[in-house]
Amino acid sequence: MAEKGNTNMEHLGGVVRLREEHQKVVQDCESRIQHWKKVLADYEALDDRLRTLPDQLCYDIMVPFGPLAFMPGKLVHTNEVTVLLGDNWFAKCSAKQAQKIVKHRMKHVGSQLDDVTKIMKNFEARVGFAKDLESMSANTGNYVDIREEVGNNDSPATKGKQRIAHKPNSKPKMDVVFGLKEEDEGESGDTGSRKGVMTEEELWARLDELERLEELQDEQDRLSDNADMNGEDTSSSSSEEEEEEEEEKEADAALPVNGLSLKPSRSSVPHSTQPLTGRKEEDYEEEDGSCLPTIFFSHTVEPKKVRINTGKNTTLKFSERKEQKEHSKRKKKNGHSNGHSHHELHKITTPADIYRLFVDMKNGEPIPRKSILKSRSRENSVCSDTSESSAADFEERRMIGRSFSHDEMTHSDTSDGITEEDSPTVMPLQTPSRFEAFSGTVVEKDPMPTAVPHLTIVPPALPTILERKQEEVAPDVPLPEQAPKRVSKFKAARLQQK
Amino acid sequence: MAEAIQKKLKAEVEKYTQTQKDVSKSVSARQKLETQMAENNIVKEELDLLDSSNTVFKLIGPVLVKQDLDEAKATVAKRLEYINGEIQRYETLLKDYHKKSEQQREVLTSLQQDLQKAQGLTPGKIWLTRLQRHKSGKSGESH
Repeated sequence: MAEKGNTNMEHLGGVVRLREEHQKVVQDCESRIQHWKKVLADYEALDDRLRTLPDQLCYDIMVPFGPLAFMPGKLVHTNEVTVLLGDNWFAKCSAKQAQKIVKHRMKHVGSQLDDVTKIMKNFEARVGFAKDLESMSANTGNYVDIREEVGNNDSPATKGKQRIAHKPNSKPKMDVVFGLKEEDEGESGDTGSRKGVMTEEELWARLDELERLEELQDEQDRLSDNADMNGEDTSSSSSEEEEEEEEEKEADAALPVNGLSLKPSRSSVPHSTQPLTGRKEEDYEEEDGSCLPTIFFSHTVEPKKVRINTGKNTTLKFSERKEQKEHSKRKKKNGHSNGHSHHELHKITTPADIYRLFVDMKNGEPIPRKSILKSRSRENSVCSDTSESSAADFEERRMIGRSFSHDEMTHSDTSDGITEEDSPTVMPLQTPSRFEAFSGTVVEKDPMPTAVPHLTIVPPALPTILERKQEEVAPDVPLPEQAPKRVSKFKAARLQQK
Repeated sequence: MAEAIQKKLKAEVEKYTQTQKDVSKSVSARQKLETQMAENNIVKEELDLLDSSNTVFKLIGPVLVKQDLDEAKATVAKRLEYINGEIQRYETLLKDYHKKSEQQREVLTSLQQDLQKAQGLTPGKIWLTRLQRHKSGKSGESH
């Protein structure tokens, strides 16, 4: 900031000097113009004299003798004039010829005068411009510099293709998630394995519920929408994810911190959180005296969400408030039955859940992805952990997962919720109570209004591997009720075939 | 080493100032020639206005010498050509001086940089040698 102020001062000095130089030139031009005007006046007087001189043969005049004396005398040969032509050349001419010469000279003087006037006007314009420049750099006047940064910030966050910011109630996210699975499963697509489809259905049902929740919360959020938050959050996604492992409060702090790192300069877009506004104001005050008031634009119009990179070309959207709400909701419902743990399996509440859910499907077996989470969170998650201690656990989990998926195959959605009560309940007993590192929820944003769009999308196999988490066992009561309503066309096809 | 560079720098600076003086001299000479050229042009034009009935004089010292009109015209024309030639000459001279000054400016800047490096290095060098000695001493002890 100080450096910027210094350069501004230099600019200011330079501009002042420029203006002064221009003004000097202008003054010089003015003096020259005066000179030429005088010359012109002299020639005009001379012209008059030459005109009247031959009227008389001789004139009685007082002849000057030296500087102080005069003598009476006569002026004769009034028509004979010796003209100085220039460069020590003289010519004897008649009065009329002399007049001609005088006229010719006057023409020359006039052209000189025109040139000088032109120069003066030119420099006067320059002086005016320099004055404006001076006032600009001195921050006086009403000049505001508007700058818009070309958004290269987004590229690290959204690896791969650029995505358009859809309206909240459009259907962007499913496609993205869909795309991910397609890549992973290698074109399983519509005609994927039945087993894979079955397991996905559960997941998609779960996702639908989440989406509906998100919609509700979206509307609440939109009331206090902050366009800029998302712009700041997008590029801080990965770091944000890691931070959220710690504590929810830290996430709050992380957000403004990331915002700071991203946009140290002033922004005219209002921020929601307190620390951000404080920072913005601070910046404003800081910059006021030193440089031109600058407005920085950013064209992110998405609602306040955070994109979390979950691997290949997908991002989840995270909303702090939703996370808090869901967390509080969950805590309230913790006392309820464990009957709907099925849906809990699909619920993403921690970054570890992401690794649980988004798992590569190769050769019919779920192979989890390499986790970027810290080892503490990996204890109970099913990420591709290279440590030997978790290898055995992993095997165990995979077995359970497979048995679970087998169960899913044979039951309809409605019954699944009941049968799975048993298997997951086994799990919680086995697992120790886990310290919830990330107490917030990561909700996959899917702002779609009705169930119809879901059904049309066919996700490739997205098997879930059970995770030992009994804190999140408490389900949402309405969720299983909604699930049976939705039947994807693959399930329907399968049912028909049965 | 820094002193040698400083001496070099001084010599270069002198050369540069000399070149600059030459430049300014040639510039002023050229300006004079320009005014003379303008004047002679006017004389030529005014001589054209006259006819042979007018006697033309040339001022040589305190004496006005009678001249023929045609002679006068020829003389003026010749003078004008001479002046133009002089202007051309001075222009080329000016260009040369300009180039020279640019080259010398570059040399000066490079020398200045060298000087700065040398000056910056000298205290560091001492430290470096000390450190090396210390290290070598240590290794000698350990062995």
